[in-house]
Amino acid sequence: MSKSIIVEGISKKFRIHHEEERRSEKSGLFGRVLRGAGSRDASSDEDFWALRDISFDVEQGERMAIVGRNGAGKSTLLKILSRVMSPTEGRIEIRGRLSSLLEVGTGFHPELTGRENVYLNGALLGMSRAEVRKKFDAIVDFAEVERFLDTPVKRYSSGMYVRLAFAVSAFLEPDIVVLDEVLSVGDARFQQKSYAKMRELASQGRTVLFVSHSMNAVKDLCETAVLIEHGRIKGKTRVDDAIGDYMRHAMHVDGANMPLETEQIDLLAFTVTQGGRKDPNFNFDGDLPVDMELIYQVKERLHDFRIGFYVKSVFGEIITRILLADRSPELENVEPGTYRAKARMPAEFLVAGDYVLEVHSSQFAQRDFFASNALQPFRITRPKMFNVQHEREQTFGHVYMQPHWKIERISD
Amino acid sequence: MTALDHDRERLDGHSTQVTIITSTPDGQRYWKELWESRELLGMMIWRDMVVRYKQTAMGISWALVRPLATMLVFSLVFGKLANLPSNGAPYALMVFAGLLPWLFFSAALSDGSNSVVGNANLVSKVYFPRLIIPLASVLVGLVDFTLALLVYLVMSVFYGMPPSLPILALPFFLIQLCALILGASLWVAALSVWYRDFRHLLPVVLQLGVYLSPVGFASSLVPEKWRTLYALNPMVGIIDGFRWCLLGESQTLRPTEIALSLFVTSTILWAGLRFFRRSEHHFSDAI
Repeated sequence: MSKSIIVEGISKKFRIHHEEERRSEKSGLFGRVLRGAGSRDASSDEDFWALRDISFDVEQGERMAIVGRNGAGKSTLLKILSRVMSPTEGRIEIRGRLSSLLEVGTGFHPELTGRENVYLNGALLGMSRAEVRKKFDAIVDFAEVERFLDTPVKRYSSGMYVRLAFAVSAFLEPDIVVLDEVLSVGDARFQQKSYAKMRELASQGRTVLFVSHSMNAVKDLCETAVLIEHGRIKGKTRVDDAIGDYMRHAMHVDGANMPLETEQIDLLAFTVTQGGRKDPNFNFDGDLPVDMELIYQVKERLHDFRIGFYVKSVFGEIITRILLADRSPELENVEPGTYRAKARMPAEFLVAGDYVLEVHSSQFAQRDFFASNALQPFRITRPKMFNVQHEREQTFGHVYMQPHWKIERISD
Repeated sequence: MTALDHDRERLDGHSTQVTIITSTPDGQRYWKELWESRELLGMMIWRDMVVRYKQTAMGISWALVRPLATMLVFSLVFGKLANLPSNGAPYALMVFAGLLPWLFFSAALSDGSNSVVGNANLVSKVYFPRLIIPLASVLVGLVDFTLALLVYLVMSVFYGMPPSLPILALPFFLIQLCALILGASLWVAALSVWYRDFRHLLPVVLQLGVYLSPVGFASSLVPEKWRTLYALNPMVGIIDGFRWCLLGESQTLRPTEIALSLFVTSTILWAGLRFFRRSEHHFSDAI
């Protein structure tokens, strides 16, 4: 298979001006001319490398995700690939027509009508007039705005606006498409529709580069991924591995935001261990139980009080909720003081894979103390009892149970 | 390349379009890309035209209000009150002939200078040859200019001084004027990305420029020994050229002035293009 995109050693440097420097920056050009043109005050600026030595290849027809935290450099990388920004170092070779959708409705002008904006936006995205004319009906049909075609888009509802904007991009026919979170537009029904359209785009043998915060979308749309952390990547992996790595490293919490303080309760410590040891990567053995411990200080007498954990998938669904008062209602009333609460997740419970443990504390129907601020992603390896042959196929579901199978042969 | 060309290319052979991205963009494809984006240029011009007069009752006739009002004021102040000479042409007509290039210059340069910053949402989100942006501003100004020129022609017939043979030279001066506006716009548009000071500076320069250029008066008013120095202002040669083309032999045309103006214009355009091309791939870093 031939390569669509070859990225070699891309770095991007930004210059950051410091606060003190802003004052002299106000004198701007004239100040600079007075100080002597070209004599840039090096000490006033700090270099910031948004990307450092990024290299990867994308095969033709490959659908690759770029995952990473906000500020990790994803957008910068997409901008460089779309030629909106130039790299400071490195080289990229792109084979084929590349269209990038860094936002929907680029260049939409509020004063222009829907019809006029379709042509303008199309031209900006690289479509010819003839091409837009050919697809015009399909675009309008998809956006469901037939009746308002000759109304300025400033009179559109935000839903209509977004639908029309997305529709134009959905009818592009590039060889390579770069998508940045554009799926998350419109109401739920339109999101479904636009998502389906994106899948369609991606399934026609096009090369796709995709950035999204929705791990569900990433997993569904892509087969491979690179993880960006602090402007660097570790190389391409299967999408599942990259998502897991992202959850464990990029979201790396490990008590980073402890103590977590609120008016009524402070979370002082949150530890997850196995056999008394704390694995730096939070890799746990599926054959052994996992120990969880919370230390918290209650500052006033509370009733209807709950504390405990959510076990979530990396996609955010709650697999189970384990609260202190689940089986002991008397613990819902708590006196001020500092407490240590320990819990244990049984062995052979979670299916091998990546999960997130979230500390939950609330007063029933009144307030949620920590929201989703105390998180610990972790990975569970396959328990030995499980048939390795099945495991190789794929992982299914999240939890194991002992089903106590009984089998008898009743005839032959 | 249009999509159709591209598809054809794909069918013909596997000569897929290859794009190389480095820190210093490939200069060889620059003009080719610009040419391929001509449809987008057309769309941008059309957008700016449509948007400008949307929801106005008088529509495009607003384009004529400024030249006519300025002409009235200048002929009153310079012609009637100061009683300046007009070299045999009606004062109003002489002023109008000078206002045509000047108002085109000042309006298109203001628009062109703000154009890159004004289109920041595009510059930071989608790639296309950036040169299109200031180019569109100049060409939009050309539309207003054409309207004003038509009004001038009607007026000149009314005054009994319709243009004669010299008008054939008008395209030459018009092209020079466009080149000057584009060159200056490129400079200011690119610098404005880093220094918004120009938004404040430019109106001042243009305000003074109208008096430093022979707009409200004839350039023959300037003492002989200063004429060459005066002609370093490229608008001097252009305005004199316009007057000569429109009013005929009554207006003097000095070849040295024209040559000087041409030289300054081409220097500004050449340096402007060079500067713009060198800085354009850093626009999205700073905008």
